[in-house]
Amino acid sequence: MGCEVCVLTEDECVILHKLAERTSLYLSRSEEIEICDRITSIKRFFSQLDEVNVEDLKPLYHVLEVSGKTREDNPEPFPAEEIRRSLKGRFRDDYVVAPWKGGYD
Amino acid sequence: MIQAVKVSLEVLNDRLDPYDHLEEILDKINRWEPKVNAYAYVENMGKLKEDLGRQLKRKGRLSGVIVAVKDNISTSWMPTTAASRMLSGYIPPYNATVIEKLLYEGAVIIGKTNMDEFAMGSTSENTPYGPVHNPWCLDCTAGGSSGGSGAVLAYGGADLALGSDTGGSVRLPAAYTGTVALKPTYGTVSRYGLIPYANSLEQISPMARTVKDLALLYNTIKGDDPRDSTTLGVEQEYPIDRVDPGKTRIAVIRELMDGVDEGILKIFWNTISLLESHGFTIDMVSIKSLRYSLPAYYVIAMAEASSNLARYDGVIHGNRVKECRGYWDCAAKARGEYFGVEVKTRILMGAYVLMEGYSREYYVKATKLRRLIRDSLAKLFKDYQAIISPVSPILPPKLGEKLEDPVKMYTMDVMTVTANLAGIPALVQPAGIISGFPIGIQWMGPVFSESRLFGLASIVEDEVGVITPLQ
Repeated sequence: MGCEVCVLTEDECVILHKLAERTSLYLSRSEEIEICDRITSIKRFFSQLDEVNVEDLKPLYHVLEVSGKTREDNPEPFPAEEIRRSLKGRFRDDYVVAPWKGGYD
Repeated sequence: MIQAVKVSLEVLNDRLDPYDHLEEILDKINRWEPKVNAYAYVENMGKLKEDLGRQLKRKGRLSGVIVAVKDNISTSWMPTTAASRMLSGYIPPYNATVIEKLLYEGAVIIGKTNMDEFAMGSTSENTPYGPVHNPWCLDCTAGGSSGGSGAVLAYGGADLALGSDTGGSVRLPAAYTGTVALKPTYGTVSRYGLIPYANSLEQISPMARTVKDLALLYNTIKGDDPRDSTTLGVEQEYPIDRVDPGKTRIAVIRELMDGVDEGILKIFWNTISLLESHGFTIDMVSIKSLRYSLPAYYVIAMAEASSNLARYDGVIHGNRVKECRGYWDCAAKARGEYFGVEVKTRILMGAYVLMEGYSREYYVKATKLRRLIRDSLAKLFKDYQAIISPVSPILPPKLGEKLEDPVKMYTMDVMTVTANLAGIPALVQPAGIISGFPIGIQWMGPVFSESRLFGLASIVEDEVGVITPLQ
């Protein structure tokens, strides 16, 4: 990402290069410039959170606060007969044919 | 145009020819779609007639009812692309649970509606199908991300529609298109088969033209689902309550009134006067933490988006690029090629707020604020039975106006994200028209208060009337 094209600091720019790499995103030069500007604007927007003190509170990751709720594990043959019928013609050697360039050739 | 609640009854009693009804809707689609672009895909006439014939035999509560479905809800016989080039041509191998429920009740799915890519947007412009135009003002946005579903209902291109709501994505389009929408209590509708964006916030959500139709669709799709561990295991009906004004206190929250357009305010205060004339007690209250709900929401949504969209690598999930070498090269090129700029921005920012050294400053802080907001609202609901607010601070913007600066677009959600953070239900309905634009109001209530919200909305609807479909 071109550090000279936006107002991110050198360190932040390095981080963004790293992020693009870690999130497996190839960015074109024009996108680098556009995204750099957008990120600067969003970071400024997020800095509003600095105004509020929530030190004493516990995080709430999920509004339901449930964990470990899983359905019973009832193994079924894959694909189920119903799915197999609905996908007629899209199987090869018992595997579902994945799309390729928007088609199923 | 006949209400969805009456279609099934009339069809089953031979008073309405379901094929004529289907043709009436297709005629509207043919007339409006070249201008509005609300559908990403419409099933062909022959297949629809075949589907209708089969569905009529079910004699369910939606027999003969025509439903449009947002393009991020899985249908095993139609493309489901979430308006992303990453998924172009994808036909899921299974139906979403909500689709199974609709089919069980005899509905006909007519097509998939246009939307912002992966539901990331508030204007329905971030889409490879081209922007959705608002039927009320063709140069304006229809709101987003379920703008296609709202626009289709506004011109009569379906009886009912499904959208999804992560931060206001059915409510903003409803407000901008003069239709009604409900973001249900988190966990009352299965998300199985919804292409995920931000799991802890989003819900598949019903949209309609009348409150009765909205209640019908919600009662059809709600319920526990063993395939979605976040459904609540609550099996109850949500009829339209008859609300007693003497026992119902309504709150107006000061923090949700900041910077609102004058026209919108005029309609809002007219609605308050109307409710007071019915005998409701309405008070202005303040919840200071709501000033931070918008940045807190976007931090959480982007963090979850970054994680959810990691699956699209062009190898196992999503379309491949033609030339690449090895897994990482193929993944980076596919993601670079097929994701739009808004999606890329959110993935990068999501990864950023989760990074060691930054997560405490952003993500953890946002989740703490989420607790504060949820608890503050729970406290408010001990004294008040509902909250009323505007839906958006501004009238529908012109197409292209909000695309440049993402934060400008995010501020359109300032009044809607609170319900998603707190998991509470929120209903939007039209409350009037000003300068040719429909103006919506929003109702919020405690968890599982959908029946009460339907009741309150019915009172306003009886006074204001139904303003769609457009001719």
